[in-house]
Amino acid sequence: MIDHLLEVRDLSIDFHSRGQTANAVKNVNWHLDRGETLAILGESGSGKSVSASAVMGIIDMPPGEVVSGSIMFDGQDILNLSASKRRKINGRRIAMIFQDTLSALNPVYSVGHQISESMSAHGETPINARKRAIDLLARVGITEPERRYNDYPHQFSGGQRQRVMIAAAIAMKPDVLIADEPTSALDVTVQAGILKLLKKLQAETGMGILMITHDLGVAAEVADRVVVMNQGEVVEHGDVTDVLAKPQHPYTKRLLNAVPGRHGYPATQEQVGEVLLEVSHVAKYYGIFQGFMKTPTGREIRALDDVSLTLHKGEVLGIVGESGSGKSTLVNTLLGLTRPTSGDVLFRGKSMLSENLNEMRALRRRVQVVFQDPTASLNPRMSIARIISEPWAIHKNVLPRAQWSERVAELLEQVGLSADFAKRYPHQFSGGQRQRIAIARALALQPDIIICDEAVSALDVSIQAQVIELLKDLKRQHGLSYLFVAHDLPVVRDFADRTIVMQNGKIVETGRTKDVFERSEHPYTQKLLASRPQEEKLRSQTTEPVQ
Amino acid sequence: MNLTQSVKSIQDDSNTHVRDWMLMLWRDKFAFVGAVFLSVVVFFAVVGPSVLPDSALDMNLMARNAPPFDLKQGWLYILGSDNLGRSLLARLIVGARYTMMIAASAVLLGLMVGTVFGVISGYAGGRVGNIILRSADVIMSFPSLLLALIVLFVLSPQVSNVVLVLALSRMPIYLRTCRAEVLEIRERQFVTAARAMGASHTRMVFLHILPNALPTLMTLATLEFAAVMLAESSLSFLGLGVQAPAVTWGLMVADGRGYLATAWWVSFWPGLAISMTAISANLLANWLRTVMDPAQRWRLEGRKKS
Repeated sequence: MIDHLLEVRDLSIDFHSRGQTANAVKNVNWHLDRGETLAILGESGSGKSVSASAVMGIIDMPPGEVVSGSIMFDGQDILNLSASKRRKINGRRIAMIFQDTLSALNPVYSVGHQISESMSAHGETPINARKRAIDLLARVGITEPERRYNDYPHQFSGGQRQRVMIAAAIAMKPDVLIADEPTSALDVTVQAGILKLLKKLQAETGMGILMITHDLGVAAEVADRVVVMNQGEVVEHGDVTDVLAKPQHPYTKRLLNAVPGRHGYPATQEQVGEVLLEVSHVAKYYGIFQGFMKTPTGREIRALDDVSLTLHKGEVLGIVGESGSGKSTLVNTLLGLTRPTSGDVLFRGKSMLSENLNEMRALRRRVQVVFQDPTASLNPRMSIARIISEPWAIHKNVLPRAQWSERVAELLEQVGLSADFAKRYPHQFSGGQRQRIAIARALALQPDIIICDEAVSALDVSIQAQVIELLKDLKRQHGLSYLFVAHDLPVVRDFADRTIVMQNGKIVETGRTKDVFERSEHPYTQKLLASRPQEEKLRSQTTEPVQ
Repeated sequence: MNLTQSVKSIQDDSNTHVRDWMLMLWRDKFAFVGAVFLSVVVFFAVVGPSVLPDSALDMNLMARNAPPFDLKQGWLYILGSDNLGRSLLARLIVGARYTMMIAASAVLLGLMVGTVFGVISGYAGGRVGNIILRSADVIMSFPSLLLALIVLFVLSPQVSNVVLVLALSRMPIYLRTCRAEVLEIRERQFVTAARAMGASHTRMVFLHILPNALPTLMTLATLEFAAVMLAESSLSFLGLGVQAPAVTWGLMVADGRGYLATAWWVSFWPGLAISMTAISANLLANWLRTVMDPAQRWRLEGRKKS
């Protein structure tokens, strides 16, 4: 048998809780060699992080229990090592980076201190540690490392913090770097930079990278080999190009099929329908105030800068922008949550910013919203029936109370849930089901427009595809129009008729979705498209549009 | 479904509700014991003084500082007697009324006023919120005993004034906690979702924010219950609280202070009563918090997690 750098053999881990046993992973096998990248691909609950946590020894036992198997690192089984020997491996020879960089870095120490700390802990003199930390910061692409050494985590952007984490992780020149969803919380363009950095560092140091991800695109981008996991089991294992081009297992096929944008563009006809929503020259400025007396500095942040758009009846308009692009401010303005500095929002020719409260409420009814995080957007203390009927409680005289329960049941069935879920509470549902409940609530007032504010971003790809399918169905049945806001282009690709790209509060590109993708004019759009070349390649094998 | 049917089904519903709640209480044994103890205390507080109108005051100089568990003087002296030979058992029972009345009303008053101002300060924010918050800080930084002295000196020491003082001095704790909770919950997405639907402020506060802040406040209130009982005793000790011949547990603890070396039981029994009541209230609050949380309720419903 060939010795691998890191090898997991027949690993089974159970979690016990209240007399029940859950098999987190079952007979998992994988190995990692020097200089290669292995991606463990799976959706939430697939057990993709469990085996990596076992490698790091950070599974709580109990409730966890290693039922069988071994983890060989450099010829020894690290599951049987003593805690002190284990500590010598962790951080020094196997390092880890996480998804949430803000909580993984200690807010009260400067980043430089945190990087040098791991080196001092493993016996480096403070002066040397400082010097090397500055080198490392430079290496991971932080400009002015001398000055930034003394800055605190909150002074860095998300992408920069991930770079700092990487610097801390590679400080001891580890043999293995475990990256647990390192880029999932980042914008696509930033993501591309981090992945490139990891590749570069790997080429320089020859470390093995274990990449845990739910994102096929990321796996396609960096991995040499891929392990696909589903419900605690490895369902497919092989070279990344083979697995993605010729998936064998039905689950992998399903996963690949669910990648957004693989089904061609929607058959777009010229929009001749009535103009439902018209946003004209909307701007939102935030003044910058300074000092104790909050004196205006005259400078301002332009969250929205002269934004105009129209939405026709029966149309899906995609709005794509990364964080800070102003898309959230736009959504809040449309929902009446913030008042724009200038400009107007017209619904069927009537201003939605009118001072007349009754008139406004009547107009607001026509525009409903589905938020990104279905867990946060449903009140945990309300039953599903109360959540869905809340719009009727707010807008009286839409539906008499006697019909509420009947209508709730109808709505639940329309979004593909069972009518007797009405008595349950939000925590009893999965993320995808909760999003369906949020959609049912949005439908309750029979709106003309539903604003989907990143409505599928928090969901697994296969669930994402199902929810988009549901939105398409509902659109056909009810003649709805969607304003579909996303931070990433692919999601809008086979759903939106027209697409708008936003950057720094401005619309930089607008046009039919097909044109935006294939004949983009603005450099920013091109940059967005180019951030995932491998994933784009996957899409070249598109199927026919489903209509 | 016609009207009579639906009325009937609602009644059935409320009947099963009561049964469900009793069952859930039975499943949490600690809370059940706490509930039983509190019921006993409340029962004595209600009927005690009318059943034993004089026994609590009857002095029996033959039985001064009689030790407990000695039946020579009759069953009333089973817990012993104080320095004037008054039955401790009778005094405990009679004292339950004022103790519970003062503690419960002070906690409730403080909780209500604190919550109202806390919600206003957290929800409205801005200048109003700041003024409320700073006023609370002023009250909090002012020594509460001094405040009590001044108020009770000016207003005369009656039970109602004692309640007022205790509520006022503990109110900032609720206010600050409530404000912090509101500030956090206000930013959650379901509140934004309600705003986007056009919900009124009343609706957002009473349906979305308060139900989520309530568990914290309830737990805080039961902890305060014990603190208020003891604060009342120190006021009574200074002669500013309840006036003799009326009696409270806190006053009894204070009375026995001088005899700790010779007759520990004079302070011990009322002290035990205070802590048992506080612990019971706390256990019950813990249970209530679980019952009110839909995500936790399964623990008491005798079924597996869903």
